[in-house]
Amino acid sequence: MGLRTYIIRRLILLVPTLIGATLLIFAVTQLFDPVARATLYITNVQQFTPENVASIIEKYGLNDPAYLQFGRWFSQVLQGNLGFSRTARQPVFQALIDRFPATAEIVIITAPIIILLGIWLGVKSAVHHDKLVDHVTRTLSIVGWSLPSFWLSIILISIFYVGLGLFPTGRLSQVAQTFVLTDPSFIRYTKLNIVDGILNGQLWISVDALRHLVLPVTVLTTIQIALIVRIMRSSMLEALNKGYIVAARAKGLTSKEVVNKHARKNALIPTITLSGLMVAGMLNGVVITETVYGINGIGLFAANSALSLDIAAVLGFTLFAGIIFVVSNLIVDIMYAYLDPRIRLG
Amino acid sequence: MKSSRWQEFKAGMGPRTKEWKFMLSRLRKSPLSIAGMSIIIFYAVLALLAPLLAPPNPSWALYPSFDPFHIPRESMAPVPASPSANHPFGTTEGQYDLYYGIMWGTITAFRVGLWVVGASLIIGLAIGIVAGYYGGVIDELMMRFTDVIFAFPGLILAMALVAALGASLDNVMLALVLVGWPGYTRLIRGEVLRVKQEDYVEASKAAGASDLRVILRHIIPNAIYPVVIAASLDTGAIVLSAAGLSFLGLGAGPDYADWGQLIARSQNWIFGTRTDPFAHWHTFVLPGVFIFIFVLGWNLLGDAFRDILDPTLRRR
Repeated sequence: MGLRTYIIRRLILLVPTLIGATLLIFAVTQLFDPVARATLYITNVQQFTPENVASIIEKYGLNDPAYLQFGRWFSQVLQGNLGFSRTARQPVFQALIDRFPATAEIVIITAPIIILLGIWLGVKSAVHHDKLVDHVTRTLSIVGWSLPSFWLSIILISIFYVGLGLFPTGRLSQVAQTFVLTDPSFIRYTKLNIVDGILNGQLWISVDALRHLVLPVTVLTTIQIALIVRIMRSSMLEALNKGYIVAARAKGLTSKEVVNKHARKNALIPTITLSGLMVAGMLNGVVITETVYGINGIGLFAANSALSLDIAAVLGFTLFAGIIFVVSNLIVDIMYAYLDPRIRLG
Repeated sequence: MKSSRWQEFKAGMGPRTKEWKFMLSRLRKSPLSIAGMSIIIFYAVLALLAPLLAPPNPSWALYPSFDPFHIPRESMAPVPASPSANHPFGTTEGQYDLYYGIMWGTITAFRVGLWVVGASLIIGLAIGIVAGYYGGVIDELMMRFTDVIFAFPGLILAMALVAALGASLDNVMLALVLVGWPGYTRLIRGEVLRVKQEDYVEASKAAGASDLRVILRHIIPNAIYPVVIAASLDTGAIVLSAAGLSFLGLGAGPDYADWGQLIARSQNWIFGTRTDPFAHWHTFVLPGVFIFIFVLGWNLLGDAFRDILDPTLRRR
């Protein structure tokens, strides 16, 4: 089976999963009364009035049997209408789009750090199997994995912000925030403050944004890195015991050459499959870190709406996170199949 | 008669007991697993002794609505008090006694972890065994259903479910079970598929054993161990998720003895006072240390088990 056939087959398999996922979200909406569910069909702030709710219940038949409602709701979702958020007072889809750059900024910086540092530590651990480096790395990664993210966040705020005044919370300082939002010469190309600062030649904006990212990125890295270290270590250990490694050593290559040229490349493949799990971990993680650090991304939005029973927002976010997760898993699988042809044959 | 059946049973268990002995000896040799085991035993003792270590006020216990998991307080003053003779861990926002909350919180942590893991495991095992053994349409349907749950990041789906069901500790546990069982279903299904092809299962079927007998006598005993171990060691992760949801305000109520809730309560006091930035350190440091070490204990043990069970790494 060629790579293209494999991709097509995976895409077809995605359809039932996505339909199932929306069905699950729909099932959850059925726990609510029709008045609460009416927000799922509102598209703009003008419609959001008490009188209107009755007409929406009427129009979409929210007292009808569930299977009749599903079709109407599903066609709304397909058109990109995830309902209206009471807390944000704007359509859920728009609210997610507006807040996405803040989250993306955290993830774009954290992911490469976790992957590169994780691979490096995993290789070090395996090459020095059962030596001090190995024990220290393993212990530290278990410690990181066991830390409650919200607690680590609070401890870091207490030390590095309250105590030392080094790394502030939030997304930007007041001055920078005002400048970014109101200065006519500042164009928000990407809405990612670090990138926009560089593009506008206002490096202080980028530096300010980076300073605010230090703590949340540290928290996410500390907690998620164990996943990569563990799998990289064990696949590296396995690779180092393979016949071709023995052959390479017998050929007279130095152990550095053996590790870099032969073992690491093959050991990387299983690690790639874990990147999908890492995406899930980071989506889970931003809900907590954004809440503690007061970063107005999609995670904080979801946590706030969950508390104030803003169901359209919570479920819209859940669906959004699910789609990101499913798509990143698809990409991971395709990469895996590309790198390891045995997968395609299965 | 009885003794010969016992002999037969013992002979049948031979390889299995040997396997367990081997595992235990490996565990005893690993310092990390000993550390993990000691931590969990320490917490278990705390949980068992909580009513003695932090006895509820006897006069309150007379009220019919009395529940020891509600943390007592002496006043409603907002500002936390530092540790003192009366309050060894100090009080948190609203004068709730931290020592009492943390001690009884140990019971909450075990209860949440063991209930969620137990319930997920039972559901996961039942569905996974049926799906793996019978295959066909049931298997296909069940696996597509687990796909749907797996399509969401776990904590986020759990958060949405709790938001829909209503914020409470019971609903947090329910949501974590709903999100957690598919993992065990997949695991046991894989094991069942492997065991199903073994000769002894074929032989048993050929001898005319019923499906139920094959499942109970041959499939379950040979497929269950990795799943049970994986599940029991998930307790730490479950407690972390539950504490996270409590922290977000979706779990235990404001006076409930729950570590996550206690940390949520400390959020307003991270900034200390004007003169002392760490004036209220105890409100967030202490409950957090208890969660962290608890989870660390389970994870240390889990890591040791994983190494021992991994056939590519063991016996080296």
